[in-house]
Amino acid sequence: MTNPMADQLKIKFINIYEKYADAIYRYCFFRVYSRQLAEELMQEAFMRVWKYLASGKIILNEQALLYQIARNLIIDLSRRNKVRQNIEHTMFSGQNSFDEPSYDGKNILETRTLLGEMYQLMNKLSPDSQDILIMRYIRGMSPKEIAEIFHTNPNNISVRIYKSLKKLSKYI
Amino acid sequence: MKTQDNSLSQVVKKLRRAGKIAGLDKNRKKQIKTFLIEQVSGYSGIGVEGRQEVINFS
Repeated sequence: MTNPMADQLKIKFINIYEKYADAIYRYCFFRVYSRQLAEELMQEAFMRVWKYLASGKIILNEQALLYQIARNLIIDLSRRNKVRQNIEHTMFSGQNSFDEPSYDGKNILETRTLLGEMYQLMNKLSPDSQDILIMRYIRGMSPKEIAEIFHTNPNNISVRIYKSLKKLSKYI
Repeated sequence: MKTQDNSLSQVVKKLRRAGKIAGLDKNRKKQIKTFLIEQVSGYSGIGVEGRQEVINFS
């Protein structure tokens, strides 16, 4: 790209990446429990954002768009059974409990145990409820921000968060 | 009531703890960024040529 408009778009795209890459990765990771798969999904989500920008569309809510794209990518994968197969393979292969994310010096066994517990726990919830809890407590989004992604109102999200926590508390 | 509040906060604590250990590696973040920049460089499209359309996404 050599024209100023293209350079401007590229800078915008890089800024979006810097701002949301980690968040989208974490979201994908806690839906697929594989570092490699989460990276691939995150990368694809950003490529699709680029295509939006490059096709002349102005994105009014970058965060909502990215999560929506990532959710759709995960749904597509689930339909092809790849997520479940991957999780079952990594959990039960007997070699690596998980394709662990970076753990910055933390105890590997502790990390694996915690992620295994997370998987077992989150599996008690519907995919939408999992998404909401990940966005709320792993990403730290407000119910209002989550509501924008789910096209609903913040009260509805708050109720769903409470019900999901209540359900999970039975298994703690 | 207190017991229920405690168990809810235990769940929240576990979620937050798991979130902290599952971050994107800084080097991988840089590598993916480089890859994406390579991909988007040279891309031509309507927006790249200056025509824009607003989509109200949210």
